[in-house]
Amino acid sequence: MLRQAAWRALGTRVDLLVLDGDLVAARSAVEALLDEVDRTYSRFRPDSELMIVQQQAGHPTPVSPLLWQAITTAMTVAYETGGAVDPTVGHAMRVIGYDRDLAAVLAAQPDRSRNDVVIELAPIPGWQGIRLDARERTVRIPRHVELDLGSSGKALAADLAVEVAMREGHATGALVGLGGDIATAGTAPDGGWRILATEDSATPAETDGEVVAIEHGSLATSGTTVRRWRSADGIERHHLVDPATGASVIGPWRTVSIVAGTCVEANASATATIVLGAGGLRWLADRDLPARLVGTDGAITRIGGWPDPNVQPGPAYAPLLELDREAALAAEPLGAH
Amino acid sequence: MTPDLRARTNRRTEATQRRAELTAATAVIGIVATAGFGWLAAETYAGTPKADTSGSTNSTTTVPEATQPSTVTNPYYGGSTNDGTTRNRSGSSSSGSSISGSSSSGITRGTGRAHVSSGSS
Repeated sequence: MLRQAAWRALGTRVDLLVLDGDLVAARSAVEALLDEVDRTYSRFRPDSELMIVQQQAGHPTPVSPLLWQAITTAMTVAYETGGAVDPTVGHAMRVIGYDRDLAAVLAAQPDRSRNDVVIELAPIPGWQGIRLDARERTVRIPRHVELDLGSSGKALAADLAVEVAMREGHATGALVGLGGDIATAGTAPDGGWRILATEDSATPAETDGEVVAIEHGSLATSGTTVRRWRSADGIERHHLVDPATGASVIGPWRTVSIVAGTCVEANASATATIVLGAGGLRWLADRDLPARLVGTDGAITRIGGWPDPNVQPGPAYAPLLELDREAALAAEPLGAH
Repeated sequence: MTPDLRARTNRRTEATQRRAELTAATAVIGIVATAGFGWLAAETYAGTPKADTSGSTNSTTTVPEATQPSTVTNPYYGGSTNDGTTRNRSGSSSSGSSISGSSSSGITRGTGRAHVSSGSS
């Protein structure tokens, strides 16, 4: 039996689905985990461990296992994406105005462009300057470098949450969605985990649209259309920063959804595709991941086996049907129905 | 048979013998190399019980050079966990940390109402 709960945490909507398990126990465990995530690496809490470690910039600083995992995950993502998704965007984020919870940012934003305000954008410092010591579990962040683990951090939280949901809920299958970052584990319900592919994770699941089903793995979406605000100079910004400029990315893709083995991998690939701009599609195609890309003009591109809702799935001998439907039906293998 | 012809015959016999030796040696080397490669693959494949799990988190200092972060294996990037075990989740890669077609998630067109929605947040 599939049971479902939803609530808010980490500034976004949390969806929890548990198959043949204890939903209450699973939810309790996921809530505890997300609370720990918030206390550990939130950029918007001055008392978070990340912000305290940040104050020790320039010195090797011991960190908790969870912060260690979040930072090493972010470093791995940066390496694997060639720096397209880099945790050292914290300062750039602050410069363009995303230094508080989005609701607070929106409440304080100017209502028009302001010529009298100039903000100084600069390339981000780069993840290569961060030093890790696994034996001592210490991190040394260079001076004047600010980390933002938001991109990989939320996806990591989804990956971790689905595991605790499975374990504590004694479930045969589970799904955790954190604002569009969806991780699954165990067995999927009949017909798979059905996910509505949208540009805004706040879209109700029952809305008509493109639904895909996955048997396992994760699906994550990155985009530039939702988290937007006006910075102090009145220019509209979004939260995906181009490492080369420190400004919000301008490119051909506005939303990218990707299916991968883990949510971190899916999220990193989706974000990198947008950040890489014109080269994003080729970069992604080389990775052979199912993906749905929405261009800035609204056109949708599907690659890597992402199903096209406009094409009826056919049997393996579908090409024959185009040539001779009757002959193909006569040759239909036994037990096909 | 002239001496010249006899010498030529002897050289031909020696060459034939040499070729047979080389063929046998090559076959032996090939068998040994194949077996050795198989053994190496089996020993280094992280998904087998033989995989060396001694390289735990506390035994090594990793990522001293920021340009080589891949020395920190990350289970959430399709790699292995810090204790050397592979992540027990279908669809994740056990081949390392690179982004590649590791999903094989059986993505299909969904039928019926969606359980959740995915979008930017």
